[in-house]
Amino acid sequence: MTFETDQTCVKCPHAVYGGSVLFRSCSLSNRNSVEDSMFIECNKRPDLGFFEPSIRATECPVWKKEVILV
Amino acid sequence: MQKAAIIGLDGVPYGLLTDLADRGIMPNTRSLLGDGAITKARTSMPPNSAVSWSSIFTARNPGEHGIFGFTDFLPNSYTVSYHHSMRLRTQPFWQRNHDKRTIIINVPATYPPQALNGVHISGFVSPKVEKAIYPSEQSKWLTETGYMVDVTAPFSESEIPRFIEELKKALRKRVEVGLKLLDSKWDMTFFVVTGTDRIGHYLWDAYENTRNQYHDDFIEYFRLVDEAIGQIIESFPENTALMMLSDHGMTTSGTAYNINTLLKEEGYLSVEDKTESNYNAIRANSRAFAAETNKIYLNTEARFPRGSVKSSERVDLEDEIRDLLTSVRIGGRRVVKTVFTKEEIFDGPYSSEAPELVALPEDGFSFKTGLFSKYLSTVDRLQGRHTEDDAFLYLRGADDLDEFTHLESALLALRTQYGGLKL
Repeated sequence: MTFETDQTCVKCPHAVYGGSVLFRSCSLSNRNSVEDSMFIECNKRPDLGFFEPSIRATECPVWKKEVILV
Repeated sequence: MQKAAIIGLDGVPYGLLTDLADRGIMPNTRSLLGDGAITKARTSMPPNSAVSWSSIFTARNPGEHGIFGFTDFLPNSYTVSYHHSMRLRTQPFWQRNHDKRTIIINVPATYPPQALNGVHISGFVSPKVEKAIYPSEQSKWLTETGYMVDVTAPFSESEIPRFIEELKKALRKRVEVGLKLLDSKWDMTFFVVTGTDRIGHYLWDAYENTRNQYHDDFIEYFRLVDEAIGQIIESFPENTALMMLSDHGMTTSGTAYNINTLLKEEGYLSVEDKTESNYNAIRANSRAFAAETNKIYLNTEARFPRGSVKSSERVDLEDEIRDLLTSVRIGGRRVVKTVFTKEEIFDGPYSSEAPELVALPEDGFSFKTGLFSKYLSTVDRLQGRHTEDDAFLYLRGADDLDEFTHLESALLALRTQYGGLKL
């Protein structure tokens, strides 16, 4: 199937899980709570660094150039 | 040849350090304080470790180094991006002093570690130990030592004992690795303990309240930190220029006040139902929103994809929001101590990337910035929050530090004892 346009980095095969953090307490976390922030790196866009996996396929410059098969 | 060393204690306020030293709980620290000068120090704004450590190790204002928090936004996007050392716009001191071999251990906001003359183990946020060291050839060794970048946050009361044991283990491993690296040739070193901040966030009441069931654990942890300081310093030659400092202070969290809930109630912010993409939920008619505790962004046309604020409206809107925030009272008490505009606190070519406003809470309050909460105020499960005016700066051999009461000038203070430092 293809990477659906309403999906975000969460479903993208180029996303590499970085970790979860609780920034209010400067703490790393190994599970998700309401306050956790999960962050990823993109294999195709290393220049972006770490970010929240919230870029939709329609907004993704990588996705626009290719059909990602998952 | 003289060496220079910086020991950092993340999140340790001046009052706590001098209290525990005076009471003999930190005897090595007490001995140091008798052999130099210590002062309360102010942090860069906002009082956040990423910002403050970046200001310390560059000796620059955030407007020059470009770091305004652990998070920012990708260009023209509401997607949150996280701190990355390649975002730093000016060189840290170890890059300005390439002729000196430098050992860096656990300095926050330096991941991924960049090439340098020496060894660099980056601190929070370093997702994986094996990627946290330069040169990468030492990755296998570091992993095998059992080194921990950080501890895992406790999510419930029942996890506190595990959390305390992890803090002790992480400290022990950090010292072991530090001593091993300092056993080789070096000219400058920068060693940071971050467990001091974590225990403050989760167990601050255990410091202030002697009846708290974890009071003895809190005190014992700082006794171990003092032992660690003693071990590290003992490995230095006697004439080493030595600076010790914290990046911010800590105080009781108190009542947590959600700035975004206020902005929603007052019509400045409108969000879609909660989605997995957080700030993407901000609607086009929104005027402002808060992020990462203290930062308030205007939803400007220039910066955000659904921005609604024109540049000509900016100043009036900032005034409105500042008046709104400073008018908030709970039980007759002010919640917001002060609100700065970026022009008041940032100076440098990257100031335009800063949030438009930075707010600081009054004593007894802390801020939250969750977008989807319905509550203005809640009891915070965190016991400690950062403060901006009571970090500490200590310099061995100094008579006074009156000229250096802002952490951005800490390296200038060190240079009075270590003249070869290029800044």
